[in-house]
Amino acid sequence: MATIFQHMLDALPLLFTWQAILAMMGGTAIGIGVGALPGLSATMGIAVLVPLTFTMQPVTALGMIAGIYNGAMYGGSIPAILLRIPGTPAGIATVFDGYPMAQKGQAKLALRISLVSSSIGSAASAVALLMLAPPLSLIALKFSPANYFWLALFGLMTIAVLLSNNPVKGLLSACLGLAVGMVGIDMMTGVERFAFDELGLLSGVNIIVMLTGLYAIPPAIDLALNPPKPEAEMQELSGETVGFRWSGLIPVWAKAAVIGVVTGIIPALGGNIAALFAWNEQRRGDPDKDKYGKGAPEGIAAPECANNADTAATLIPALTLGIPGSSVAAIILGALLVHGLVPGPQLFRDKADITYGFMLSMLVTSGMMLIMGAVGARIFVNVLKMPTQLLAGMILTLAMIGVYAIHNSMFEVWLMIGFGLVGYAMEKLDIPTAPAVLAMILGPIAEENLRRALLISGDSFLALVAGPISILLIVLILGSTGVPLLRKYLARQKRRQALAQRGV
Amino acid sequence: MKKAAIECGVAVGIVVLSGVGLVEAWGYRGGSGLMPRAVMAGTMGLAAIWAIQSVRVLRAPRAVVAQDETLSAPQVAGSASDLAASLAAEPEGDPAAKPIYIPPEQRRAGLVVAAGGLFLLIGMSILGFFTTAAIAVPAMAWGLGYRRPLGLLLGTACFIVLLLLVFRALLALPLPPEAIFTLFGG
Repeated sequence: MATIFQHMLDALPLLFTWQAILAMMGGTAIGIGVGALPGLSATMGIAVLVPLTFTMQPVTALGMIAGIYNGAMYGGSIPAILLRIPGTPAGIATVFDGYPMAQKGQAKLALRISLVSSSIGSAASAVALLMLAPPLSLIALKFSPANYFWLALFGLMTIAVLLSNNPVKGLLSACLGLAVGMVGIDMMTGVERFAFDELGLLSGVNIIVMLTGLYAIPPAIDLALNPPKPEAEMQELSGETVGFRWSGLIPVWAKAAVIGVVTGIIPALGGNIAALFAWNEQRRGDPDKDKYGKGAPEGIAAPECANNADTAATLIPALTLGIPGSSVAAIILGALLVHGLVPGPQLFRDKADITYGFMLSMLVTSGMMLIMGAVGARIFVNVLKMPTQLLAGMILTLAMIGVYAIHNSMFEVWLMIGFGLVGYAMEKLDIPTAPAVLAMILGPIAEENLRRALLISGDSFLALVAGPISILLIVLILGSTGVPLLRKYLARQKRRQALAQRGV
Repeated sequence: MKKAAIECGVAVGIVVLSGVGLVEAWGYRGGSGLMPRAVMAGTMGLAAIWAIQSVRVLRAPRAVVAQDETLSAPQVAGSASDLAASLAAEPEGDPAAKPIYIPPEQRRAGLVVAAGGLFLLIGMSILGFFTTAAIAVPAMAWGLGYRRPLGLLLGTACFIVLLLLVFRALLALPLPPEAIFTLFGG
């Protein structure tokens, strides 16, 4: 514990430079704005803006990303409360009580509850990250190459199977990522793989090119093709916040924060699941169940606290084991790679100052969000009035300039657009894109460790299944992929039986 | 056309592409070929299963149409309980059995995005990033149905100023020269 605090103290000077503070403030403001715009998400915001952080110091850049991530989670509640349309998927549960509260003329209070709850959730999550990640990384440091291979495979298989209704599609997406991750010259042997003599591919595909393509282009196309149409009238920012008994929300925040943190650690769940779960649990545990869905303050506090408590917790397996449990965690890992930080336990040993600086920035931005959200409430509400038709062109432009700026290469811009079109097609065909990104990150780790394990064992594949950790991971892989597959099979059988009974 | 028909075509395409990849990977020597061969073979197998799944959906006698394909941005309507129920519910039938319908306004918007994107891609190398953006952003918004000249002007101006501030002033990134400045000897 003393070492953790020492590392935190060492990281503080890096975090409190004027550049880092400005970046965190800018990131938080951008995040709230992006979250407030229906159709845009934290994932897209980070994907578009990561290339802008290339020239920044690592802690400054990662602080900005932390701000966007935290801010977007809160921002999603603004249209949920005022327009009955969640800005991000994580804001869905906020609609239930947020909009009815606004209809009752308490929009200002609803937004304030959402802001305070989001900040508390973010802070709780950041503390969990700071406390849980370092000890977990110490365990992970004991892993052998064979263990790492299975661990990478576990992360990949779990996400691929859990994120799609059809596991075949999830696994195909992972295969795409693995294939892209292999492009270029193999560093161990010098063999050129899948580059087809194209100069631009020899050094491999930059992760940011793929990330920007997959996560920035499809939302831009979607915004143009399916502009979000609010089905309700925008509510005025009316009412007062004085006289509200905030202490009544403390138990709600405590329960929701735990739900959010636990949900965040589990791969393939996300802020939307955490928020829905927290709202449901809050309603279930309250004797006065009828008030929910009609404008109960607790019905806003629980989901908003939970979806923000999910943010930093998602990064626990990502930073310690190098296994991102969600698409946004994968993008953050991509951003770490851009700044020369290879995710995994060695991060806490070799680049402790930057790693702790990033984790602390998650905590600092939760405080910044509280201040900025309170001071700039009216400005953020006005974001909702922005014409969405302008956004598609702006996102495309930003993505293109950002990707060009990586290596001053138009080839990479074309490649990014190619990934964008593939990503859009994948979305339309219900193929999740997150496994592709995860595979691009985890693929090289898995391959390197597989080859290293084989090299150590003299090409004996039996060495891969030796040792308790490897066996445990294999069991986990079988369990995490087999159980959902079995459940899906049983559900399909049940559906078929039901259809047969109905005579369909 | 049913979505499953498109899925079947895509799956067959992937089988062919991964087959080509497998042949290519077979030529990689030593440990370099281990993973590429495994991935390509796996992709072939998975895509073949997907193709079979799609064919089975196409052959199914009757499919239940589920949700509205045209809505993909997160939108909600109705009461909280309706929403919670719809979120918890299993999708009715196989989504791949749904017929694809693209409304005319979506087709028009698709063309605008394609033309705008292509103009951005080509224009950026010829005209420069900022000039191209200054033309493409309002033109795309106009094409997508935004008809307020003042909003277009202000929105675009703010965006370009922001781009200049971030990329030129703050990050000082070396971007291609703007043709308009070169023309005037800048």
